[in-house]
Amino acid sequence: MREKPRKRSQFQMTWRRYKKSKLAILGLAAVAVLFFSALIIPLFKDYDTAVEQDFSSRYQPLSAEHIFGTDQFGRDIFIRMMFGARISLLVGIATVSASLLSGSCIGAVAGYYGGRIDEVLMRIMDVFLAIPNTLLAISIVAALGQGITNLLIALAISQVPSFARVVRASILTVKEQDYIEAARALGTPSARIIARHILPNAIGPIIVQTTLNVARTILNISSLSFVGLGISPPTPEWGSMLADAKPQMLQYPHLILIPGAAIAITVMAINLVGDGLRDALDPRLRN
Amino acid sequence: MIRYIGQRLLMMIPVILGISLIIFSIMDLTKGDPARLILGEGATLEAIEAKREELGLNDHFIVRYVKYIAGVAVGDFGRSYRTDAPVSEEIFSRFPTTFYIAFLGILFATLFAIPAGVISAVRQYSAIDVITTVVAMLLTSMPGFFVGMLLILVFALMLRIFPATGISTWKHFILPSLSVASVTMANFIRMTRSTMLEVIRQDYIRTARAKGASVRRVIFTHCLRNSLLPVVTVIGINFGVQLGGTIMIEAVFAIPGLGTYMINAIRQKDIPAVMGSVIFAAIVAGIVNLAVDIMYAYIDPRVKSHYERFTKRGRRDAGKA
Repeated sequence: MREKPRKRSQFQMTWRRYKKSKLAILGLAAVAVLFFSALIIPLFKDYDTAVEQDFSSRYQPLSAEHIFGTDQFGRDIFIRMMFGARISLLVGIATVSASLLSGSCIGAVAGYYGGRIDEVLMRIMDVFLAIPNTLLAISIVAALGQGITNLLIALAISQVPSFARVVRASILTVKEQDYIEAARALGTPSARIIARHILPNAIGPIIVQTTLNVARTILNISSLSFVGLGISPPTPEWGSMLADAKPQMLQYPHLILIPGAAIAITVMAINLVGDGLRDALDPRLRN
Repeated sequence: MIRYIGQRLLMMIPVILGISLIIFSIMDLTKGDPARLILGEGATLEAIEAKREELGLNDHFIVRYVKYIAGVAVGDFGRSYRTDAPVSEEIFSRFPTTFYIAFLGILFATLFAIPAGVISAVRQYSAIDVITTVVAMLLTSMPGFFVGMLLILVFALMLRIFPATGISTWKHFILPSLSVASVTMANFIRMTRSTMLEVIRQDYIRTARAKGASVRRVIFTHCLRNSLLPVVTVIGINFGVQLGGTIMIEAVFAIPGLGTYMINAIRQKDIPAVMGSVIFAAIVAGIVNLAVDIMYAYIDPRVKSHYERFTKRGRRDAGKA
């Protein structure tokens, strides 16, 4: 119980530094709006309206009834964008959580125990890092077959090494501190030392990496879907919507501009939050 | 120096073995029988079994892997399941295309990013700085293939200045290279800006100014040279990655480069082609990284003296043995 007020003040300090940056606040607001609208859209529109084709209303321009018009199959683009946001954010966050969890375990073990375990684990991670990220993801998708779950697994595996490295580096910075020594002297088990004493003190860079990786994952989801190896139509995914619209882009440029802008805005908002967090958590800027 | 290069090349071997093992295992898990893929759906069971035997598919995983690596060691990447042509030939015939696009792309990006980064660091918080930062931010947030589509829409379909797809003339290379540039540029700008800012605050810069060196001279000879080192690394790494094939951008512009080759191979479960192109990409990236490290020595005398010490010590040790 005695720890509580101190923890909150640390959060407040970070928040105070974070809100100094207007761009970071803008990013946070945009992320909040995106999340909220992706969360509540099923309350207003049925998922079927985003998938069902209606050839009587193809290529309708922007209007009050269809804010962003309709696509080549007569589906309302606005509704598809909203369900697309759901998919991107959901898959993005699930992927990053999975790779954060496994990457943290590997990085924590490697950093805490050091020596040969560290050497072996980090060599394996280096090999994974030497394979271009998208390429690794594509090969795994090819092996597992298409589908949202397999895409999630593939993207998660391809990100594990970057998390392992960040977590290991953060742990190395606090491992030698006196309070860790003290905890060890008291006979605290290693797992508890890692979870309760090291990770909370090394969390800054990990949070930043997590945020930036969500943004990168959203880009990767759309890229893989664009080349037909990610989420396939008719699921309203932004990348596959771009691929669908490519042949008619001269006649109907809004069909590519809207999904493209959606990707860019989402990724940019998340990146702004990540940059803001980096500045707010960077110990070098603290007095 | 030569000793150092040799050691670095040797260090690439375990990495490449690891990569090939990972990709080999992934492709092994892929559903579908390569023999059936080669012979088509109408093939008899006996024919498929004979083909499996011929390709060595009935061997144990480890036997197949060792055989493959033994081939790679003497430059034999096997034959494509789909075209029956040697994989190494197919890769080398596609490499020039990918090379031009990657090279031009990185060149465009560098030519724009370094001046932009320097100006926004020198005039920190000015309008130019804000604009550059926002543009860099926007570019990192846009997928490369979307930038490619926008370029096609504006310059190929609307203005009709450049062709949209293909590789027959030099004009075909402009839009894909610009897409590559847009993906990589933001990184370069940020890196140049932040290292410049760091260097500008150093004591020796203040000393140089105090001794009466002009602003121009301080920026170009004192700051830029010192802040270029991390930028060169980032440029090098990006170039190495792009040389392995820019899958999405090649897909947008229908370019028959390494990226297209790779993705078709993965789709068709053409294992030798996948393995060959991935290993090739890793080797190229490794060699480019090594070249960047060697370039350091010429940019930064501190690094050069480190190499020389390294080599001398090496010779002494060799002499002892």
